[in-house]
Amino acid sequence: MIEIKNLSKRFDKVQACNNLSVNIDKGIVGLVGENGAGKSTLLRLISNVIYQDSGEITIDEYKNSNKEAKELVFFLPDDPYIKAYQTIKSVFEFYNNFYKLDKDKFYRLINTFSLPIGRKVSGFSKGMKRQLFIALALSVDCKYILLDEAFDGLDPLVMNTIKEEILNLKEEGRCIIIASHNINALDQLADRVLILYKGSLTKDGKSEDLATEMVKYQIAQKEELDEKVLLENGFKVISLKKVGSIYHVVIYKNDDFMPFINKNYKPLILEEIPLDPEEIVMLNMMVSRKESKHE
Amino acid sequence: MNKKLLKYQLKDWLPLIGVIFIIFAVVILSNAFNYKIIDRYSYLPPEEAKYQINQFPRIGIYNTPFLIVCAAMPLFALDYRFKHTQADTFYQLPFKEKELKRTRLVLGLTIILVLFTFFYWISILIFGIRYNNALLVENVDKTNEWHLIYSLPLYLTLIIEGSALYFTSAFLVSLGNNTLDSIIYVLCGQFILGLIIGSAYLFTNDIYHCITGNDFKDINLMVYGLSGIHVGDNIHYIFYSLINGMELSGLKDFIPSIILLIVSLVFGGAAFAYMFIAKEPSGEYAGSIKKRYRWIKWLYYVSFIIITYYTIKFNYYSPSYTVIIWLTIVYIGYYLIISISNRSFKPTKQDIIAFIVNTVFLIAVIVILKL
Repeated sequence: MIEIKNLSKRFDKVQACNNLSVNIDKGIVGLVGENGAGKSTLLRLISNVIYQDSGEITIDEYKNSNKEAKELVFFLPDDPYIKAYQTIKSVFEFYNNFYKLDKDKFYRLINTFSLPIGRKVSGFSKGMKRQLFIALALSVDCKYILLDEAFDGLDPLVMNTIKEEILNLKEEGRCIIIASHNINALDQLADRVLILYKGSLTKDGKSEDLATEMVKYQIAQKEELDEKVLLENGFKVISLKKVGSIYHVVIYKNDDFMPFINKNYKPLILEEIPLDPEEIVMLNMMVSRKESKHE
Repeated sequence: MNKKLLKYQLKDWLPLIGVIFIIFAVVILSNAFNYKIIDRYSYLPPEEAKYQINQFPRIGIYNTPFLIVCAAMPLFALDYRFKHTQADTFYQLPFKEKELKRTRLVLGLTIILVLFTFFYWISILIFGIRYNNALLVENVDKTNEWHLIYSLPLYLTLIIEGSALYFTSAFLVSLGNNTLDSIIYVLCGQFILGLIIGSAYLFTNDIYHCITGNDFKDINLMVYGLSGIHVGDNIHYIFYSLINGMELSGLKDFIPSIILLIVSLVFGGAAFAYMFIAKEPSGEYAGSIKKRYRWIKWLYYVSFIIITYYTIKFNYYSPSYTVIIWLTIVYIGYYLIISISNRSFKPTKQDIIAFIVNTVFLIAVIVILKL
């Protein structure tokens, strides 16, 4: 288990990690948050690439800087280092020096992604480089695999293969922590989503759990719907948007909402509609931002 | 030491090893073949000696490439800190960061020592064979007899001093977060440090003279020799005299050089201890132009002030235009160093204040010391 206790890290004026405590045990864990929320910092801290100012990280009871802990973790940064002359083979050989890699699986993935084995990696597109390193990360025999911006620049076909492989790793009992802005992909995969905001953990759970308190309504009416009025009447509005002539309102659950709208606005349409996973995470991020401003 | 890393690094550094091999081969071996056994026959009467054993070739031929490689190699040994992508990759490898640093440093030094040892002894062997062959020729004029027995102490001194220089350089490299900063620190530390210490000595002496009317004991020569570049000079001075059997007035002549070599060893030893004990800097600094240690910038300012003073002092009897030319060079040098350090031609407020303080100080020194 990765145990993080009161972790703090500051870069000059930016608090990248703020007294963060969380335990990550198994399965697939998604890390989401806006740019600068501290996702990459958290992964770099866990893998001991950077050092915390305070707090503690233990991996299976070893301090994260210990050799034993480092042997358990493989971290794929968002921009992995490549030498100008390296080919797929030499990248594999470099990591094979230090980790136990499944060669067959690696080359099978490389073939599936149709990556040119003989060409220099420095000439690859961003997406191709990502595919290569994802193939590498998925072939490593480490208990904890940390993927930073894992799904950036990947096409849907490749994404599918990667999802399958990640699920296979989960079946093998490994823990995969993925930081990504691709919330849809994360939601399909992750058993748990951690939402970070300004270095703090604001939400922790599966996306449907994160939305248990939120309700989305679709309202069609002639009169203008004012957020202020709703707030004054005790409704906690998370989001209010007008799409064409229809309002989309997300509020914290309140049984009085529909009667209130019916009574005061006499809408043409008033119905509860489901929130999609991406929306749920985004709304949670918005809530975090609002709460932070309020504080 | 990590065996896996050692194996990988050795393979990865093959091109670098090739370059060092070529440098040593070209410089050292060409020296071994090119020393002169002067054929007097061609231009002197036949009754004169046919050959003359000339002086043993300059030891600087060994010192210079070897010590430069020793000073430069840490830039490669610690280059994983110079890019954040590299730091991300290397710091996460399944061993401690200290092990990464130690393995690469030790391997870097071993490569230099092995290659140098090979070429050094090959060249001494060539010297020995040619020397003996020359002696076998009739009518040899043994103007200078070589004492090749000193080749072993020369070799041992070189590898010990070279190792010390290597670790001093590694310490200087470790102060930077990127290649350019580290190169500047090595250049300043290895080449300009002696000048700065010498200037500081002169300045302190002048103040002392102003107050007491006396001077410090003259140790100028020694303080100038404190930077890495002078290690080679001192080794050369001692062993060139010994190998060529030049007359010396005894050990006394060597004492300043020996002291300076010991000081270099102490610096190297301290740097070695620091490099092996100190914690690796966090990967967040890798590739950053920010200074991890703010005092480095202050060293620039202090050095600037001291070197300006030194320039005036040493041009005391020179025409005023010479002083102006030298001061202009010092000021341009300061501007360039600060610009490289800031990665911008626009100096910061702090840099401008340092410049003003230096100029005020300069005027004060001229007025007070009546230069």
